[in-house]
Amino acid sequence: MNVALPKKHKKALRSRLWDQRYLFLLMIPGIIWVLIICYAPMTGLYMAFTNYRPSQNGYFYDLFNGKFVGFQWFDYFFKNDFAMIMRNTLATSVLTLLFSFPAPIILAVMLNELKSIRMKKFIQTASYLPYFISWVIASNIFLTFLAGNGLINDILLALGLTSERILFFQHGPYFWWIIAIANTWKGMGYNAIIYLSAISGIDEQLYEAAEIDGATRVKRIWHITLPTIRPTISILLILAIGGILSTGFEQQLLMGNNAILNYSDVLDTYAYRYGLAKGMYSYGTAVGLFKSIVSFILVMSANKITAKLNDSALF
Amino acid sequence: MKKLLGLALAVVMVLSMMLPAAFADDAVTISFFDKNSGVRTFDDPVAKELEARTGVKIDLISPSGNPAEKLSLMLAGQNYPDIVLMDRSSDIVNQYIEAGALVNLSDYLDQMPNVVAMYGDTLNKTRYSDGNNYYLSNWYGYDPDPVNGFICRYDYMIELVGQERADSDEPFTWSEMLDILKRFKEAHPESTNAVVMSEPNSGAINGTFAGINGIYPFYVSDGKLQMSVRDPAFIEAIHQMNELYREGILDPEWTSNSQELRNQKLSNNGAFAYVGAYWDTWTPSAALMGSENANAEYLSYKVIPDGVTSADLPLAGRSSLGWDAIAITTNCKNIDAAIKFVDYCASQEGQDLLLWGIEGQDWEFVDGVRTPIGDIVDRYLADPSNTVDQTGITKWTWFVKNDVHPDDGTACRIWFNTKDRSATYAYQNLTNGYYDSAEFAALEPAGSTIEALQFQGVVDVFDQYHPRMVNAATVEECDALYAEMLNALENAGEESVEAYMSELYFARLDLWGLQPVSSK
Repeated sequence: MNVALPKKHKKALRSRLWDQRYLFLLMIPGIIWVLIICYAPMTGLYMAFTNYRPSQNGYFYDLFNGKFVGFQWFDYFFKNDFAMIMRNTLATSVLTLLFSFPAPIILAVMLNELKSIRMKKFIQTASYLPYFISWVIASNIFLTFLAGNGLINDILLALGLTSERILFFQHGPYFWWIIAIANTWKGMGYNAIIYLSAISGIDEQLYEAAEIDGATRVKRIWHITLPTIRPTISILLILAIGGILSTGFEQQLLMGNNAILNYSDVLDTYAYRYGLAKGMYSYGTAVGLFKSIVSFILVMSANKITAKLNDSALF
Repeated sequence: MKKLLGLALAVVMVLSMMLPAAFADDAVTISFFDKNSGVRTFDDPVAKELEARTGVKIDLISPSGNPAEKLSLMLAGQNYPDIVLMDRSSDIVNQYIEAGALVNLSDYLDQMPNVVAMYGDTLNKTRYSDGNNYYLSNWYGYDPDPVNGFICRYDYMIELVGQERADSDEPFTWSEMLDILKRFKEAHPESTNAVVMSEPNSGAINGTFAGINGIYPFYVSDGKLQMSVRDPAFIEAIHQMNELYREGILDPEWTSNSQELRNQKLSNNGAFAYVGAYWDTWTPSAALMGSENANAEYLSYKVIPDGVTSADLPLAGRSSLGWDAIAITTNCKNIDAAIKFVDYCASQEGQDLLLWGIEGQDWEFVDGVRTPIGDIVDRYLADPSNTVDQTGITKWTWFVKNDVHPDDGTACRIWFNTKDRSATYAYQNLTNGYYDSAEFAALEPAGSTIEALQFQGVVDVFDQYHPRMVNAATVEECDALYAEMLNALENAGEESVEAYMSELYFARLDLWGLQPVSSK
């Protein structure tokens, strides 16, 4: 027998808005901030399709009255430096991802397994300190350590791993590895904090039960820790994939040199050199817009794939 | 009682409102962006005296990072200060002019008698295509001062070629210099940096080797202006650098040497010579003379190609139109004050204040000749940077005219009135080939154009290939890379860039009534 349940009436939108008026009121500053800081500057993207030239008529006048050139800047980019710049960007990013994605997970799991609280705190502090060092200092550390007469060469020679000093900053492909290692070194400790906080939320009873069942430490990590923090791993992976074209900027500018420019120049440094340093605003914007579109597609794809694979996604 | 208290309070309030006005500083404030100012502050004795004499308070805007980026951002946001000092050789000046950001100074020349008198014909040469002057040159006028060369350690030179030859102004041929460098290497096998260069200072490197081989900034032939890489002598210059590399004489890390690293290497006993401007070695020389011996100083030596006897080599081009451009922007609210300030700085009195210091305190007239007071020059020779910072003399190098004083023949800068050994050798050995390179200045395409993009592409190709050619393992590899670079340049749009620049160049020569300097 079918019993007709009374239909639950949904309140009208206006009524619902009124009910939650105080919450919306609280959101207003945030919404205004997002509109002004995040969305309003996007009007400048139109510059990528015009020949923007500053004049005395004000920014918006110049923006909307510049000669419309369609895809001319994109066309120039794709026909000229696109292949080299994308190769460098992707090579650096993929290597960075390869090192910097698992490194904080491993560090967080290892820290979690440490019994000595003092040692745990020391390692945690020491590992996230590089995050707060500016790239100017960090780059100088790498330049000094990897110099021809630097510490790394001294060690390699002493260990007999090389017969002559390696000039790390003279060989392009080395540069990709150096940047990947530098990025990992700098961000590993900080990212580990996120995983550590996720690990700290795991119910202790799960570990106790596993221990009673005779699970070894490795098995406990494999079957409890890692599966439990999988949503965090997924979200950070989505973000990392979304930022794959943002492979760095200061580090390339500070550690690169002309001998390896065809390996060190990535999308951000290229857009900077042309757009800001040379004042070619429209061209720089076009390169930047290309990067944003690709990044957006990557985030959406990664989000979709992750959602299908393990029921957790960013949005 | 209440009334009295109220009255007293009212009086205090009125007085407190009036007092600041009564003591207010009535000086006009002019904001000034100086791309060269670095982290310097405008608070030294010369700066204070300049403000007192002009009645203008200077709000100095520091570059804080890359000056080109800051200038570009200020232009895009139209928030440039009242006066801007920018690089004259880059296209940023034309971008500012095209944006209408600079005041047309031609309209104010009648209010700037000192500018007109001091600049003379330079004003005609720095006119924009519409015939107006939008900026004034800095470091203008014919400037035969030496710059780039082979700067070798004097004590090692004495050791290797003898005192007489080390002091002689007779040039060394390339083979002779190479032989000296090889002998140094034999005598000091531990040295890995016999010759130090610094790629970020590539103008100095290319300037030195271009000078030795008689290469101009652009190759002008058959009524066409081309990139200097098309000069037949270019590959010779590259071969020379490559030979230094292959012989193990050149510091292998020259491409990644920062200024600090370069100075560190030059201060080290393993270094023998530097390629670049002779003043770049002042700091390491001071350190070495303190720690080693009085002759451990880097001094300039003349090097010419084998089989060449020309006294005009090495070439040393310097532009009579200067290195920087100084302009008043349309954001300036008090043009009259800015004009007055500019005119005073450009005057002989203003120049003397900026470059000689305060009369009666730093210098004085003795028998009609400007004469430094006390030990000020000695202090400078012992510690140049601190002396400049403390005294303010030559700290603000604005509207500088490269000339001697017409009344007493003294140098335009107090420090140059007495030449130390480094300057003496530079003037003795590096000055013969001086020519005015003004005709080649600021030819590059400006702003957002395909030609400007292509020009940057051409520069990028050269920047990438230059270190690779120098660091080639063999001459054959070097030549192959040279051929590859020429192809890459063609693909980057070299031809259309050269066509653009040729048109501008020959129009300029017509306007100035000149023949190409290279044809002389």
